[in-house]
Amino acid sequence: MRDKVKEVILEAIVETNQLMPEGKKIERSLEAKLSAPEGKLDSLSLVNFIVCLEEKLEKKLNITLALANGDTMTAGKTPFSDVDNLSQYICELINKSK
Amino acid sequence: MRKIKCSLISDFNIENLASLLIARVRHPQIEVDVSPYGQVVQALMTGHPDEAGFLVVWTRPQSVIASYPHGSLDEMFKEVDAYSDLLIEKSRKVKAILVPAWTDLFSGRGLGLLDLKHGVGTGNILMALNLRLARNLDAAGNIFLMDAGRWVISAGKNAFNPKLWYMAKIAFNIDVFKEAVKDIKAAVNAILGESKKLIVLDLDDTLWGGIVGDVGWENLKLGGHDFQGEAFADFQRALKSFKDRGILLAIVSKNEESVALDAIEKHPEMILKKDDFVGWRINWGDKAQNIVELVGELNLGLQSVVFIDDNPAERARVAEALPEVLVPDWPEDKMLYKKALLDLRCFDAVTIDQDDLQRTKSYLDNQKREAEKKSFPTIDEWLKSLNMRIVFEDLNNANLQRIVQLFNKTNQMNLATRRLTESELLQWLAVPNRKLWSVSISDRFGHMGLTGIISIELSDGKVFIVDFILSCRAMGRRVENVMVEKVIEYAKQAGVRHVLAKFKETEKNKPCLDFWKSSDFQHCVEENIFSLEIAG
Repeated sequence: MRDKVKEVILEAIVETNQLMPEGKKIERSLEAKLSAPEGKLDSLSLVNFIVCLEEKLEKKLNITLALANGDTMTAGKTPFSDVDNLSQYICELINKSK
Repeated sequence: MRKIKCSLISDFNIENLASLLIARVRHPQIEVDVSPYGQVVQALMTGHPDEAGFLVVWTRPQSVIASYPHGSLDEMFKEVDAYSDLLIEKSRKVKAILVPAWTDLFSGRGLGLLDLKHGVGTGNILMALNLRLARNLDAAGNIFLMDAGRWVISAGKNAFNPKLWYMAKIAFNIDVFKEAVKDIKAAVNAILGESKKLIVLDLDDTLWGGIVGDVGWENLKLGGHDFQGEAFADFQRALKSFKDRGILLAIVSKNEESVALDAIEKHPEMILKKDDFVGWRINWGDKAQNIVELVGELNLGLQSVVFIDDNPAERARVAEALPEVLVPDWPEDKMLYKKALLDLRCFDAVTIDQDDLQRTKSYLDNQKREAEKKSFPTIDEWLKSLNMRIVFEDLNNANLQRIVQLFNKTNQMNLATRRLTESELLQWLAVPNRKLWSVSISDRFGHMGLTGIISIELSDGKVFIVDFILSCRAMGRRVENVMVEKVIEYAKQAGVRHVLAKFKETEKNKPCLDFWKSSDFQHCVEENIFSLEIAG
């Protein structure tokens, strides 16, 4: 499941990149850093990314999740730091919902 | 490449639209400036550094109509009128304003079954408000109401995502913005006069199903009780409607000409008739070469052409040989032809007037003239035989729209290639000592309509020809010379002895340069100014 989730994350990166200016696009790789400060997603692009990812999870894996909440959007505790962290967090949410 | 300036004003976070507009995937390239969201009225009322550019003003009804949706219709109309006044006032300062029509995705299904009930449902009210807005904005020639509802439909069920709204005040998802970008860029192209003018069509498996040379016209798939035949007939109907709004049609096909023309004339289900086409090249030659010849004959530029062919190899050949020609990917499925045609955004027009409706006839009349030309020993005798009548008129309400259209569409015989909106033109003319004449031509073949413009400025004891524009249909008939004579006559009456014309070179206006070089005017090559001292 985790590999499938990672694949969906990469697809969401590609779509979010359409809204990112040249030089600020996120690398389409499993090692990509996502949210600031290490990654390139600022607050607006992070929202775009989260919504896009939620829609893709629903469409591709038939999984409905709320990725944005009080905990995840708090600086310091975010699971959106990189692809690996995010995929782990999504898999945890999926397991909890079973 | 030149970048077009565009400012965005919105009551929601419109950064995503800005990002997509800036992306270089589609012509033209756009430089975007975004006003802080939620300050629509302030932004419309105050000046802006990019005043001369395009403006997109995208609002939600909730933000600009305080009484929406629970007030009375009269109350809401008053607010729509006030908002319209602001837009109209702003339109005097910018090139053009694009206004996406109001949609209300926040209200969801509204009152459900009653949502379209007159005076009750939100959906019904929204329609009334948009119609009111459309009627009001008609007062300005450079404001265009855009069908945002179509963008929303195209984006599907995720067009509005409450999470985007609550977390970032983004009113639509990316798919709505992507559709909007396509239409906004098409609108900018149309306003800049870069819309396509001619569709060149293949015949076999494009206009009809089957190879006419093999199966004979009687056995072509066209109309009748056949799903593909019906699709071909519908595709032809769509093409005919394009022709009826001023887009020219022509044929380039590998066929025996007599066989193909027989099919066009004799097949009972042919929607398009021979006189719907301004020309054809039906032979076994190279299609790219045929297009070049045909387009040259019509006095058009290759950049005006769209080539439609079912055969990918022919499309690839034309695309490679003639990069200026738009060669859209074409579906293999015949039933998608009409949709593929209607999805093309390259034919958008700023106006449609009587001359557009008569355009094909005008070209056909031209062909008759040209055919006759060969039977005269000299051009002078041919011109004399035409009984040509040229009428000059000042700008008035009746010719304003056509004049604006010519300003924005004419490429080849165009001295300055100024692209002006109605308000820009009126502002320019409001300055004393400036004058503009329209040029209308008719002859014994018919009325060619308003096909030319001269504008001049009287300054420092000289007459400056600012605009010198003539439609390609009227070129080469010495109308240009008569236009120059008109200016000289005006200068004489004004007691002025110097007439000057500054040529501004573009990629497309070499015919204009050639005309001026052949005139009696002296050419100052460094400044590209043509001057004439009128003999006393």
